[in-house]
Amino acid sequence: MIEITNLTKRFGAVQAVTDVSFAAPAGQVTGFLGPNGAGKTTTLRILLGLARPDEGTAVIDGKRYVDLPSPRRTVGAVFDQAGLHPGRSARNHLRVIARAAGISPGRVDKVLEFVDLTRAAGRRVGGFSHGMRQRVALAGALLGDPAVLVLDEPATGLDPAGMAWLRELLRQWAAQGRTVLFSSHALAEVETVADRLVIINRGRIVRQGRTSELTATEQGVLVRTADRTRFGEIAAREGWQVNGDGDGRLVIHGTDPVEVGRVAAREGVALTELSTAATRRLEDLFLELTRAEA
Amino acid sequence: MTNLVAAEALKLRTTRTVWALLAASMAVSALAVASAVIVSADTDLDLETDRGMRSVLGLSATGAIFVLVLGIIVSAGEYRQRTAVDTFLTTPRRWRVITAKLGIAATTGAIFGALAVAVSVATAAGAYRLEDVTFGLNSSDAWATLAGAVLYAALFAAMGAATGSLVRNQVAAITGWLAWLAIVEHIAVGFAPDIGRWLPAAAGQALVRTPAEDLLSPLTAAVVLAGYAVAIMAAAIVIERYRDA
Repeated sequence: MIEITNLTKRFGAVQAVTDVSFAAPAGQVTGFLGPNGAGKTTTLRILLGLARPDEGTAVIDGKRYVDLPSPRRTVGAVFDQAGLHPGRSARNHLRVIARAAGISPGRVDKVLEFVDLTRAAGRRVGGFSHGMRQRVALAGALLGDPAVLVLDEPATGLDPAGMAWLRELLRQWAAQGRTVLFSSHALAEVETVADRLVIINRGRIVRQGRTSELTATEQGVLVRTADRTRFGEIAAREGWQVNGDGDGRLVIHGTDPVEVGRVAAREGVALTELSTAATRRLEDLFLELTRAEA
Repeated sequence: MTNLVAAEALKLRTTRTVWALLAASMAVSALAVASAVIVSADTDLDLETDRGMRSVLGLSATGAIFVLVLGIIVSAGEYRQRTAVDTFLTTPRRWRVITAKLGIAATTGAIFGALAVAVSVATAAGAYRLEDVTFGLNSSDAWATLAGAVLYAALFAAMGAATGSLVRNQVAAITGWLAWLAIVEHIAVGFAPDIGRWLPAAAGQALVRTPAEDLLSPLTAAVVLAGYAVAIMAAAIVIERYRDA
């Protein structure tokens, strides 16, 4: 169980994370979703004692990471930014961790086999592909057989087969009653495996809840108009939620097409298209967030 | 802490850098000793005297410059290779990491120093024979010089490891130290000789009993150098409390 409460962190003038609170319960996969630069890595770094928060707390089973008696046996972490020494072999990388953490050396070969690197274990990591390196890092996280997994962008550099394998691993891990928290900037990577979603943008949590609820489809009104600004003002006044669909159309929730048509006519806004579609509000929202970043 | 020191030793053994530095350190020490003997006639160095022996054997510490670099790599190398994150995930109490690194650097430094001394003594013996001078390690002064050279390597490795933890940037730490030893300290000594003998390079000279004026006693020199290492390490530990990994 991971609990993050009112976390705030500034880097000089940049407000990286503001008042972030969420929990990742045991037995579930929690997806931590947000565009690049939204504050995901900063939050996870604070959780793992690599950075200090200005305010707030981040605890694992009630303890700060630095206070865990045996961190590697409690939490397994994969960090995109964590390097592997190019001159060291995969096996030696794991032996170093096992030695420092007091984990039995026998675990090294077990996790190497688990991530399917037994044959490459003696080779220097410098010659590995990104996907292989990712698996070495994952093997390091699994070494202490931890009850909590924290993965920062674990899907980066994995091919589709590797991705499917990772998904299966995360599901199994959660099914065994363990806690899984992983971050991603791509909704598609997260929604198929996460039981819960936490969405962060510009350092603030914008939405969180069960994936099934957040990704439920609902009837939306699709509108195309040349006068988007004016239409936006009207929508705001009427209390509708409007997002772009990435294709020049607007997706409106909280009303129906009859009402939209009547209001547009009354206000004198010409609509060149008016229809309905089953849309997913989360996808619309996320598209909007990622577009704002671009 | 035992696990941590053992893990640091394993880190060193599992990359090639350490062997390259060992070879360089031994080669440079042997070369310095050999050339001192060969040019002794020109420099009016009487090889047979106690003073001559100390001058020659003291040069077995020359290669310790590479041991200093090794110490820096032990700590700052983790930032260069971006392995520091992994290290701090295993051991989130960073003072433990910094202390273990100082320990392993000093130990490795002593071993490397001993090997450089062994090669240097063999080289000196050969060079003496070429010059037709008797080589005898029967004075306690000669042995004290050799012990000093081993300690020299250990203490400079420790200072290197502490500096690497403090500044994190491997290139900056190495250039900083080399500039200090080769340039800055000489200028400082010129300006203020009273202070100069307390500085690292001069203290190192005292440690190997280099026959020169104004040096500290070997024991004081050892304490001073150890003091530098501990002071830099303490600064690193304090600053690390306020620093993100």
